[in-house]
Amino acid sequence: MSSVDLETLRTLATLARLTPSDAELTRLAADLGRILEAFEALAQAPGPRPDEPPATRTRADRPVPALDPEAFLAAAPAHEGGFFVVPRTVGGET
Amino acid sequence: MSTDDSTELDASALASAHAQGALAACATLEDTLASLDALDPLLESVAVRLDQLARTTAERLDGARQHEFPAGPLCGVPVMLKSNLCLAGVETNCGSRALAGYRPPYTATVVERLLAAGAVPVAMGHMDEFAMGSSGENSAFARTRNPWDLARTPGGSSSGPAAAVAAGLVPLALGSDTGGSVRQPAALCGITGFKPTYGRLSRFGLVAFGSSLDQVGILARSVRDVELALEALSGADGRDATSLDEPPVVRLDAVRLAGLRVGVPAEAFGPGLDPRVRAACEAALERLEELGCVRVPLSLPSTALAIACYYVVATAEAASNLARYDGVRYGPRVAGDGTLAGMQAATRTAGFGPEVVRRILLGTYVLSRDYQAAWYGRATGVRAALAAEFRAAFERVDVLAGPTTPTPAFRLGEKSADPLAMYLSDALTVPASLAGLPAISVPAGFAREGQRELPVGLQLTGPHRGDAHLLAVARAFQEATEHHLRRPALAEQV
Amino acid sequence: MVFSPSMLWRTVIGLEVHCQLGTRSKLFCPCPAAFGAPPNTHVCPVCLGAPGALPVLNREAVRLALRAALALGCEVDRASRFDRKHYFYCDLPKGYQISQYARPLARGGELALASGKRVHLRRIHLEEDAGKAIHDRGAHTLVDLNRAGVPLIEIVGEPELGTPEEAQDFLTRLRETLVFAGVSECDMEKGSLRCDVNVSLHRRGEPLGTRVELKNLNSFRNVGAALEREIARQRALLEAGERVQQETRLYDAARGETRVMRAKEDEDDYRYLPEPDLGVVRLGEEELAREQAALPEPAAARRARWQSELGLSAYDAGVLTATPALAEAFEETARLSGAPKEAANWLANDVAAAVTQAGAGGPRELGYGPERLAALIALVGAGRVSKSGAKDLLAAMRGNERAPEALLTELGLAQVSDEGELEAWCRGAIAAAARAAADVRAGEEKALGALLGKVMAASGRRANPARAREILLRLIREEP
Ligand SMILES: [Mg+2]
Ligand SMILES: [Zn+2]
Repeated sequence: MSSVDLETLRTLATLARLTPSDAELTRLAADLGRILEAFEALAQAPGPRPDEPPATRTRADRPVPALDPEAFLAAAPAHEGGFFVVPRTVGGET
Repeated sequence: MSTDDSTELDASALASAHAQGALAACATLEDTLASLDALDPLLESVAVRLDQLARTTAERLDGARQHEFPAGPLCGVPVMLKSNLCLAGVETNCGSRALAGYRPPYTATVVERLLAAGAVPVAMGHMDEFAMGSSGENSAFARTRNPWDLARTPGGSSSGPAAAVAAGLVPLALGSDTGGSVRQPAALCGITGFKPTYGRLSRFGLVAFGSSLDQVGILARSVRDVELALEALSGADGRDATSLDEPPVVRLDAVRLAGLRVGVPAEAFGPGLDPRVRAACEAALERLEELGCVRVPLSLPSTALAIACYYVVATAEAASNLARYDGVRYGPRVAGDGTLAGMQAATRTAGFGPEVVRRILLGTYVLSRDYQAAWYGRATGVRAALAAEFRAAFERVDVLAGPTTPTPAFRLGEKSADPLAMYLSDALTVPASLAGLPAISVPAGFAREGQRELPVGLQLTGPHRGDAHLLAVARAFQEATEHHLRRPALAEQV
Repeated sequence: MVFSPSMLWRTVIGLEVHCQLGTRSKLFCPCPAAFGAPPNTHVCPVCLGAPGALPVLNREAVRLALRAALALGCEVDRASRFDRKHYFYCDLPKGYQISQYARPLARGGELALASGKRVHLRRIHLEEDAGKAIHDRGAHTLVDLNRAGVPLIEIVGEPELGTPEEAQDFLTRLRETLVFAGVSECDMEKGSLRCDVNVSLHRRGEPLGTRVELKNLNSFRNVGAALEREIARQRALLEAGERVQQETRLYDAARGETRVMRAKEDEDDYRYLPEPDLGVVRLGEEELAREQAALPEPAAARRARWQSELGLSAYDAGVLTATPALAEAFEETARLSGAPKEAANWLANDVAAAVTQAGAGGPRELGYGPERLAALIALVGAGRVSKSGAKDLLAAMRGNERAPEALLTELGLAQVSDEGELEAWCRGAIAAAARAAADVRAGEEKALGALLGKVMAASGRRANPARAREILLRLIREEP
């Protein structure tokens, strides 16, 4: 289970929105294979159920004024009329 | 007091000198800026200088003193911030091209509290990209050097802050510690580095790497300075849901070391340990015994899996946390093939360095549908087992002690081609991170390396939320030793 | 009966509904959750996905989600959790949505359709909304993050619906339940209720077919229309011996057709990760009991009770449960006036129409609060205003703070029941229409209408018509 073939790595890169070159992919496959092999013992560990985290801190439903859009739009790679601008696309999810 | 002296003083001494009017914050600042000018070119610790902000702050502090407003506990203390701590309007680039030029629209809670306590921010410090690294070499912008030997690493990822404190450029710095990123560079640079209990210091405004592990850490030349800063920075934060619901940590009076039970995990003194590190730490343990401590040998078997567990959890969370750098809202954008997905991929590929890419892919792998149960699932199980072993140990002992790092500072370039070797150098610091425990590295001695001496750190670990007591023990050790008083002879190396 | 191959197909429909919770601020940050602000003006470091920002849970959102779960009879998890669901899109600032995956807030539950059929629910979970990507302005896509982080519940129904009509009824009942529980305003036009549908066809007795998911159904009508189209498309494929592809399709209302949005591939490996920035959502027994006790009576129960106990028609009961405000107004007006049927008459007709036409939140906003309507009903009951005068009075009450009684006098609408005045108007009418009077006398009672009309005209519509009628008859009989 510790070897990562190039096809798997390509799928991972697509999922992570990364496009390493073929040479980089080959090197990364070797790195990941070596790292996972060294970590193999982990996969044999029985391990109890993870601890449940504590109850989360909550806040009251009080709206506060938002940031001035100028404070962050100016740092955006592209913006127009108060919107962030990206290449034309369709899709999404909720 | 002559201005030549101010860079020799620790934070506690500086703050009280400023508060009493014996020293002007502006004068101290000018000394600090002058030493940054003179020495930082050798160290490359500074990512961004904040001269103007610092001068305005220092003038305001001196003005307030003249009007006899009460002085904050860190009045006029120059500090460096690791460049993953947000300060509104100041470039906070996390050592990454993905955030080159990025100025956050808000300030981190710990930085707000630091400023409220009267500290003077003088610079943002270099770091491994997104805090991923143990040598500083993963920074996209600098190769920070160790002031004890400029050919060697200061450790990482809080490289700049550790090197700057060690070289005497600033008495105090804030870093972040996910798997040892404060303790390890503190050990390699011969200073004091503290990672509090997870949740003790607010993470709001700390750029996330591994959210369930990340803690803001404090770097200083003495435990008493760490305690001073911790009291000013700790306390619950409504903006961080994981921050502990507790008041600030107040410094304890001197603890009695007589009868204190010091647990020594066998695994911390394993076969991979450099003999010089072993010797220095053994000597430190003997010193603790001389002071009345009782040494309790014990075992934490799950620490054998800690590195694997840590790198699975941390990279999974990192892959998630770094998904936001997509070229839509901030940071530089690369057009790619002109589609949205192409732009995002091109931006990310250009923005991230090789180690960050490696960890994102590893994290994506261990979280992906087919491998999640085998990797991420098992890692969380091991993490729980490790935490349980620590809890059991602290039924029997008051603190745990061992080396902070397996070796003294290694040469720059020595491990940069071998990610696995680099990961393994975190073996001694990640267990406390996984268990969320407070841990501190204090100078424990030196390792001879040719003509030079390289610092060795002793790591003390306390039980969950036992920060105050752990610090008091570390302070008692420090008061009985002199390793922390030694300074690197930086000028001689030029 | 003619054999048709299409009778062999069974349709299986399941709904996934996203409903915006009625909080004032967002789920994980204090930005206003209000709809309709200029782009990116309800945005902060948290919902912008700025480096270092952290989510903190809005406890009112949890309370409202809990209400929804209780109103739908779900089993509530006392320790639900959040997870990160990863995918890249320009409207998703962090590259993940904070949602609940492994431990949703609630499981199970059911909803009764109008037919009495009970449809089961799979789960209800809390999650944050994404922002809005706008594709129809210019050459680029524009991104507005005002909606990013707004609190939603996702309600997943079991695939137990058999027709587009049932799907629409399911939505109608669900919306009504959520609105009456005070969870959400469920306004599809504002996007506070959104619906995804999955549909598959299979032959009776055979395993379920490949399901297709339909998105972009932004009205109840579209849900029905899109399903009709999709069922027809799948049936045509199957009957031609082809296969249905597993995919997500968008409904294009303008063209009345569905088209492929994306195929199911490896792309949707969401790499769920327990959200490390948030702890467990712990709910105590007292809190559950408190919310359960505070749940308002559901609309369906009110309709049944009003019909059996108050004698309302099914139609009126239906109109009066169109909104909680109308239902509350009715209950209160009926109680204050002691005349439920009269209250229903006014509210279900004139008042409901006025509220709809004005786009008001409820009767009170228009000056038709229960006290005032009860006063109007009392004036009619006491014969102090005629039925037709009462309509004028109702019109005058709108947006006018003065008491109905004072308005009555002011407008001269008070009904005249005084014998002397009525007799004078009646004599005048008989004199002016002697022919009609003669017809009445000859036994043609319906000629009385003309005389009564003259009385009403002469009195400025103030004459008490019942009394005037009696007097007219007496006068005609008395005077040969
Ligand atoms: Mg959803
Ligand atoms: Zn916000």
